[in-house]
Amino acid sequence: MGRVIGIDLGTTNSCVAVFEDGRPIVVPNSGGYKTTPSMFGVADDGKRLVGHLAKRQAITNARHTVFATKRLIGRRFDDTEAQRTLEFSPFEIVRGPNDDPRVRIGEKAFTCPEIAGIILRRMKRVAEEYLGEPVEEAVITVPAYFTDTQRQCTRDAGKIAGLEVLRIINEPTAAALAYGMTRHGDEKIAVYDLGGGTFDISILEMSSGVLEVLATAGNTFLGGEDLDRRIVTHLVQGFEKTAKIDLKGDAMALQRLKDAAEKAKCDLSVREVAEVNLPFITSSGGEPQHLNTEISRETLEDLVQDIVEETLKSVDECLADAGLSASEVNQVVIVGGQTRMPMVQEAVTRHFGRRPHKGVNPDEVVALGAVLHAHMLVEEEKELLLLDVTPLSLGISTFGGHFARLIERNTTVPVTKAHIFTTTRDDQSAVKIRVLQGESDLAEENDLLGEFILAGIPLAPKGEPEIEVSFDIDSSGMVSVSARDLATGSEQSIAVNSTSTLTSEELEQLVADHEAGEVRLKG
Amino acid sequence: MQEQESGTAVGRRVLRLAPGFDPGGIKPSSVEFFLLSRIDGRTPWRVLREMGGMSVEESDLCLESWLAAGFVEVCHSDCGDQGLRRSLSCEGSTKVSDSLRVDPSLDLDLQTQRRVTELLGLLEGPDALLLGVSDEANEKDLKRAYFKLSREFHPDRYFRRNLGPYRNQIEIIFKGIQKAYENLSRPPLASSVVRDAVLRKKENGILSSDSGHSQDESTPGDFQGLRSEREQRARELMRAAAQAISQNHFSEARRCLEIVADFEPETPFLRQTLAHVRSRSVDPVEAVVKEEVGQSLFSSPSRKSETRHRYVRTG
Repeated sequence: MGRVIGIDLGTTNSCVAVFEDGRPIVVPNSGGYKTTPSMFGVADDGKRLVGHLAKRQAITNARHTVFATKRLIGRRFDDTEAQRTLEFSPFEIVRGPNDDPRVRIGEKAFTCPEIAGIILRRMKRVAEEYLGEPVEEAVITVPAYFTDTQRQCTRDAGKIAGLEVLRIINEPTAAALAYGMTRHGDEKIAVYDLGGGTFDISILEMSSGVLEVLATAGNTFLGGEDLDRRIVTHLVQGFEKTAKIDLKGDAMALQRLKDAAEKAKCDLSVREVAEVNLPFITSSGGEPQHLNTEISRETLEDLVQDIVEETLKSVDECLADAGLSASEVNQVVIVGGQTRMPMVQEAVTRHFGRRPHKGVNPDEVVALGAVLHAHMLVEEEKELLLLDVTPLSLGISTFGGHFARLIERNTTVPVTKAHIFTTTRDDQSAVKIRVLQGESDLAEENDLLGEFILAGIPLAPKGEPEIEVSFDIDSSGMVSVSARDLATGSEQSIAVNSTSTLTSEELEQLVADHEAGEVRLKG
Repeated sequence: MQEQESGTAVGRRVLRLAPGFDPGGIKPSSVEFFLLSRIDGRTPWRVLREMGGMSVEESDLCLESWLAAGFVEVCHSDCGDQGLRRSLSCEGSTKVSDSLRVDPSLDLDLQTQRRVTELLGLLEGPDALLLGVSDEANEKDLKRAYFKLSREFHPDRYFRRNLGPYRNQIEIIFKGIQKAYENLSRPPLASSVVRDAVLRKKENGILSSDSGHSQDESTPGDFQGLRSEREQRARELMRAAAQAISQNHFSEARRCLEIVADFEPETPFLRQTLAHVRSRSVDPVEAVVKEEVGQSLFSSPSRKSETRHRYVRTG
């Protein structure tokens, strides 16, 4: 059996770690970088590019270079988040047959799990080149606030990459694990994770070899990409004012602006003023036009103030769920590249009344935690036990379109919960169980994970039959739901693992395709 | 003596109030009062004895004496355990001891195998016993016990090992430990929480069905999360009621009992005692209210809630 790896599949960058000489280490890619851009592209000659090579062609071949698909994975085409991505995207996003967003490059429409799979396969390769042996198993991280569908799609992506996914774990939990390995004694830890596309906050308690997640909250559509977008909008508006030219419809210009915005944002973490210099950004009346301007740290902070405030709201929610006040937290760990921004660090410091822990690298700590978890699962050493929670409430839709929660958010898994329901009409012989995930009291506002029908209920006046609905989340996070008529004992159940945006046939086909591709590459 | 026989046979006995039982006839202490209130013809002895504020031995004595005095009697139908077992919803846990044999071929040391069997036996007992803590354990003790048992029984510790039938049982134990911890570590409740619980119960009834009838099906008793909140609140109110009765403050007792009746399933004891205190409470201030209560006595739960709100306002 090969070695296990941990992969932090990020919105902007991905990172892979292995366990070696008794500790987890991050593996650099062939270019010597410890993180690899989560980008995929097809060159003009049809060659597929991943990582830095894809990023390099992003400007010259913007329509055929895909990035940040983590923001689309597991969503439906009509979701507002998907639509928002669509609006700004230089590449083409189309509606797939399962109402899922797909990326069209030339003739082929790629599903989001497939693109994630291509990136994961690259990360697997990075680890294999380093270890000099094949890798088959991995723990992959996702934002804590990912829904079941998003997790399932990530699992599918792992399969497409030729990996057996041991676990999907939450990014902040992984970060806390990596942090916790270096500590002894009892502590309450907050992990503030502001990445490229998502924001998570988790509160954990560590004591006598157990790391318990007390609560988690977040926003799967808030991150560094949004900051970049604000800067791009700012630059486009500025250019429109000075040069009277609208750059919005120009895919190549937008991609260059995005690139420059990201660079300026990073510069502004260490400097007060950043220069944005984009010669030949466009042409007008045969004359080349250049964009040359400056952004100050203050301007940037004004632009993104509300985004940072938004994260603090989630922090408060999470603290309330954990039943703690900010001052009871002993340590704040900050994770994700976006936490390098001084403004973010100041906001966190102010909010918790303490400076965040500096001992971890915010880009690498999640991958380190992932491989630690993988290692602890497969090896006999069980130094730290992780008690994780389910981030979103689970329940069913009941009469009048209400959402009846059976498992509340932040419940430790594995868990089983049951509740008895009844019929709403006389002589009703069947009930439909719609399994939902989310926090709204209205059923339709939550994410539908699956549905099934329990039939053969003996005729009885309404309210008489007793139908026990039971929810189970196993330790790998898989949800299954059963409904049983207590009078007859007849039972129906589903395993909610088919909620990926891919059908199982599509998945099989993709796994086969990519395996074939792999063989070709090796031969 | 029956107690000396196999504990389970005694433990499985289900008690109900004797027909014609008159609660005015006995003057129980508050803890006895609570114990009496839990006798509903469904809850078995071994659960009853763990419920009140008394030690197990005291509870046994108390139940024995009531049995001897003819206040309560043993139900002979075997229906009693079902409701409870169902609500525990640990699939198959009742048949475990038959199927679990110590098996040296498994990838699980024999000591752990015996521990699994031991813990399975504790699953349906009191939470504190399962966690191995005293009844007075504070939050810190509880957490320590919970973490210690989690390290022992979390399924992740046995990832990919060949555990045979033990795999399922270990997961069941972990879930049981977690639930016990949840039940015990719940912070003391402000009455507003109970009020919320009552409101949620109403709402929940509507959720399941539009008929008032169905509210019986979805009492918070089925709602596991509310169970312990409810029981604790009921205990406090029963205690207050017993004290009030002993001081002949019947309207005060009635007030407490009516709140209990509003969110607890109505046991015969509760119904009879309530009728008793209602007949005795004659303070002029509350006379008007009493009439309203009288009209809606034992009517649908929604009527009851109306009465209660009116009552609270008056009071």
